[in-house]
Amino acid sequence: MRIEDIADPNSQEFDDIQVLNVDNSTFMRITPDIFRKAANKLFEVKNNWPFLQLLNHTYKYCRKCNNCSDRCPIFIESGRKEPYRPSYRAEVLRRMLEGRLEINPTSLRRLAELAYRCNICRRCAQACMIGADNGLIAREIRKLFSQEWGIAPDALHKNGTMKHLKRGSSTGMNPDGFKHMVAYIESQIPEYFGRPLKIPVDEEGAEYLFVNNAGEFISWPHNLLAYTILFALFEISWTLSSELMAYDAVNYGVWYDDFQFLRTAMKHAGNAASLKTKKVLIGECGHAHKCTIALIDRLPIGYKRESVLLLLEEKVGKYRHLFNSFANPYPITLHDPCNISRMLGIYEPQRNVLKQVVRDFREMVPNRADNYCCGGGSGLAIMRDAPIKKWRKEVAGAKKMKQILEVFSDVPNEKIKYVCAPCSNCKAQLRDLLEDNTQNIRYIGLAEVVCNSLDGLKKPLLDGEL
Amino acid sequence: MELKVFIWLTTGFILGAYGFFIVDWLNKPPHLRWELYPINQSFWKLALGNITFREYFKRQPVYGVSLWAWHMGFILAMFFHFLTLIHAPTLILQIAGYASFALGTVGSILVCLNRTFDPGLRLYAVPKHYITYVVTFIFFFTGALSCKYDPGLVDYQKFWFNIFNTAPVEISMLTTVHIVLFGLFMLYITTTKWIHYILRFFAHYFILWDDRPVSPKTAEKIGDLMNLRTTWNGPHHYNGSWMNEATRRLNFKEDKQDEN
Repeated sequence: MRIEDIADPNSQEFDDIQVLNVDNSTFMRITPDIFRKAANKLFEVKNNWPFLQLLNHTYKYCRKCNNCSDRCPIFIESGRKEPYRPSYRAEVLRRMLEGRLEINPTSLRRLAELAYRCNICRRCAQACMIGADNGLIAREIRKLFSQEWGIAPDALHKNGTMKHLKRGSSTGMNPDGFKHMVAYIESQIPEYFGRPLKIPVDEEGAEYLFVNNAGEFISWPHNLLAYTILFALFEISWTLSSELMAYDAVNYGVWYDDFQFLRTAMKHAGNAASLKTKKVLIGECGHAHKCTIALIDRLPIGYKRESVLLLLEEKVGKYRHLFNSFANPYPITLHDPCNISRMLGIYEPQRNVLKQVVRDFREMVPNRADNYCCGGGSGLAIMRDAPIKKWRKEVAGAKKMKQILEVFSDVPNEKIKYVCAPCSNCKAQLRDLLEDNTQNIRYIGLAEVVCNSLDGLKKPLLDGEL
Repeated sequence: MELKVFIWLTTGFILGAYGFFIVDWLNKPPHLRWELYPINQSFWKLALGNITFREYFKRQPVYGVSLWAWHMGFILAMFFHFLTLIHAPTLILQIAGYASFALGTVGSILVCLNRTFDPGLRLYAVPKHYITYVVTFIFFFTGALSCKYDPGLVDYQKFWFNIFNTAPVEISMLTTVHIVLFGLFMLYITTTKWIHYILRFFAHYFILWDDRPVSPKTAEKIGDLMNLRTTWNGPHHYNGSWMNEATRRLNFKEDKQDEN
């Protein structure tokens, strides 16, 4: 194929799946001049100062050497399809702006779509000798279409950031719903722990305001239950907040729109201040980690943040006597969420924790900052339509699935095995990846594994269902 | 004398242009934190990457060899000219010069062949790639020819020894042609993106490996940038300043569209 095929309506390489659910008519109003004028905003300080430096560096200095291609699990698992090559999107944008590629509704729609065929895992950038980041380019293209024309997947925008900003959570959960959910989880604690524990909500002056992905409360309530038990044993002063948005730490804006990202981050900052807690403790959510610890760091948003993974490492080490690794006899491997490992460098704490509470800990290869994305990164995991789900499983997540099968290849099928993933988004993807597996492989969060190894737990968390 | 002036001007031009590119890069506003781990790898490891091409040998060994030869041609050419300026012994000059012109000549042919026959690389090729291969080939090849006819590099040494004075220097036609091409080559370099050899250090130290705490100067700069007025036209934007956009109440244009 040729780069120019993207503008050819008859080309068969591009339209297998769609996440934007828009046809060419949406792009009819975008003439070549309008497109170039809008795209040039990406290179203006006033319109794109937060990412201008690296965008400009990548756009100008990428040598098109393709050394990043083999680092991309999507490109490899697609059968090396050209549109999935990390440098393809950037080259299309480059040629469009230089007038060397036809700008028509077909090419614009496909470019917008292709920006969502990347997990923005930035594995490609690690291989680049000159420091170009084609993952960032995918994000910049998403931004262009969203910020200029409001073109973004409903899962991220209408049902994502907009719902989050208006109703308090991208799950649609309002503050009352959140309180009901907390009450339900609280009611389950005696069954596991043998005695009731209160889940603190809106307690002023606590040391930590614990924030997590609200999807965690709905889909994996064991996680909050486990943290409640662990924090009680660790004698940690903490609270949740029922303030609008404070109970949902996600920020889908980081995937596609700088302004939605900023609005969400600013609201989170306001919530952090309102309860007068000393620190915000970020739960097991990869992009909430990246956003809250790194992305907002240079913005005029002042509050102290800490990763729950670091706190767990410290406390599990200190309270070592409470845990019995024989309670976790399952072979367990660890998935490194890209946002936590490759983008924040947090990869040893979770290992140090697991090694203390698990009998049979196994490393997937490669791991840590060199890991493979689960295939659901950058918002793809929450896009649930059948075609995109199929693509996530068969292409984007294929490398991860192969790694998982490989690491458990010597374990009999009938034996239960676990993939521990300290990230809600990765768990959503693993849920889909593992749904058809016949090898008894399950996925789980980190807190559940730690809590399950407590001596004297009344009912195990790893086998039970809430 | 004219040749010396020409070389002074072309050298001044490339230094000025590179200075401009570097200042332009550094003058871009501070990036939001966007690290890529593992960070804080050693400077020497990064610098050695310019010579070892380890990342290429790991993934694209054939192309890696071509690129390595081509780049080593440049590096050794720079080294060779530096050596002539400091009056290094002829043997060392010969080693650096011969190696530079040989590797550069072979490298420019090999990268051209790779770019032409590798389906992935060919797809991303633009005419400028091939112009560059031809220009570099001519430069290195004439260098190799001048070595053949002046094995002791006598003319070279004569010219470069006297580059900083105005005394006339008599050198052969072939060496003159090569030195003229060297000057033109330096002019050509400013139209390429070869400064990536330097800017890659900036990209790593100022973005990808930058986890330094926010300095008051950076905080002040970002405070100013938050007051810039944006001109994005999306239905959820209203062209306010970054700070206003980030903190405004929710009555976006798209809500009105929904209501309609």
